[in-house]
Amino acid sequence: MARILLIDDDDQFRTLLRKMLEKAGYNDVEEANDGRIGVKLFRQRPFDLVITDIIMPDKEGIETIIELTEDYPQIKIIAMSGGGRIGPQDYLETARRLGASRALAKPFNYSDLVDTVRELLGV
Amino acid sequence: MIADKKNGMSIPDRTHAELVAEIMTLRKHLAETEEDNRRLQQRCQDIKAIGAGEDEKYGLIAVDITDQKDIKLQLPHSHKMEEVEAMAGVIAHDLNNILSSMIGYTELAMDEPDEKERLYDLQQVMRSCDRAKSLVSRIISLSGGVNVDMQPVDLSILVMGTDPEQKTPGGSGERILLVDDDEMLVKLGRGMLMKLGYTVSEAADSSLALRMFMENPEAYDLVITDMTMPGMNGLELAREIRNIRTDIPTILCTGYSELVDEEKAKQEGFNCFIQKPLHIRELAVAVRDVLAGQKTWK
Repeated sequence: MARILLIDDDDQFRTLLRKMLEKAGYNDVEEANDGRIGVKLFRQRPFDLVITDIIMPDKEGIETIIELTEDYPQIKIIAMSGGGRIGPQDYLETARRLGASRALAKPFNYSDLVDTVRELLGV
Repeated sequence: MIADKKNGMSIPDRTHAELVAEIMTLRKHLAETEEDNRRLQQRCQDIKAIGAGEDEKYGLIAVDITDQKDIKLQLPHSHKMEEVEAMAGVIAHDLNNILSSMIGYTELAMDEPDEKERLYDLQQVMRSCDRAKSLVSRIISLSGGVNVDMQPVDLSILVMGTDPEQKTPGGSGERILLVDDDEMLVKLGRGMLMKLGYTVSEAADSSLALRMFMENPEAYDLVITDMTMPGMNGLELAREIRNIRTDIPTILCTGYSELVDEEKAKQEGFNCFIQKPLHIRELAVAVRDVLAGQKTWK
């Protein structure tokens, strides 16, 4: 069973992602509400996939991606963003360049998420 | 700071370690500012990768906005425009987050066989709607042009003690003429009012509404009208209707309009002013109070 780590500061959205993943059969999901906790959880026991938001109040996603990809070059990461001062595509482009395997622009739907996860995990 | 967009500077080639260090510095620097502005400023960080080459080096542009502590500061025009752009970005970001939950939970609800789970999903959709509603209030208050009461409605107060849905005599049959040019909203309003036990006639056009009322002015106990409509607006329609029958109670139900506010609605002779988007309870309270002859003006 693939283990997935969700990092997003939006509790409501994080719960939604968990529900979507569970619906798709991914029941081993852990959550973190910022990058600091996410990285800590990852170091304790690596995950098969990390799904992270980019703009978060404490430790944001770009920094999280940089840190994780440096220490775990084979890591699979999906970056998500609804944009900010620049559009979501710019943030996601940054994320991709910094090592995220895939990027999803918010808002996205169930199949956008599940297709991307399946593609990366191969299950 | 990393780079200054105003001066068009960017930093071409950076190692990972340097990038991390700079982002850390940027974050720390921003965190030193007032708590009220901290989140906004962090969200306004302008981080953008440019022209990464095959050698996997990265470039970065960032804007330090630490000095822009108070967004209400009287800044020169160009700075104001920057603030507007920054705010637009923040709003787009927040709205995309809210939309994500709306779309996702709706999808889950549509496909959820378990009644309890579906109710949970729908409650999350409603929560997202409330978040969107307060975001709109924030946008309106930032625009500064419309003086309306932007206090979020504390639904617990409405629910506490008296439940208007329960108190409204079910099927008491009071007859309401509902006018809104938005077909979806008129159908929604009709559904809500019928659920509350009222008999509803609907019109998606103000002149049709007036003709309906003229034909039989005694057929209605209350008129609820939208403000902005093609042809006659809500104020004009209500004036015409009151010309026909002076004692007809009226409720003005509007989105954010520069033409009208609570005070104006009161002056015009409306019995109540309610703002879209509406919860069924807000509608229930307004209709119940107006039909009971209770003054709803503070």
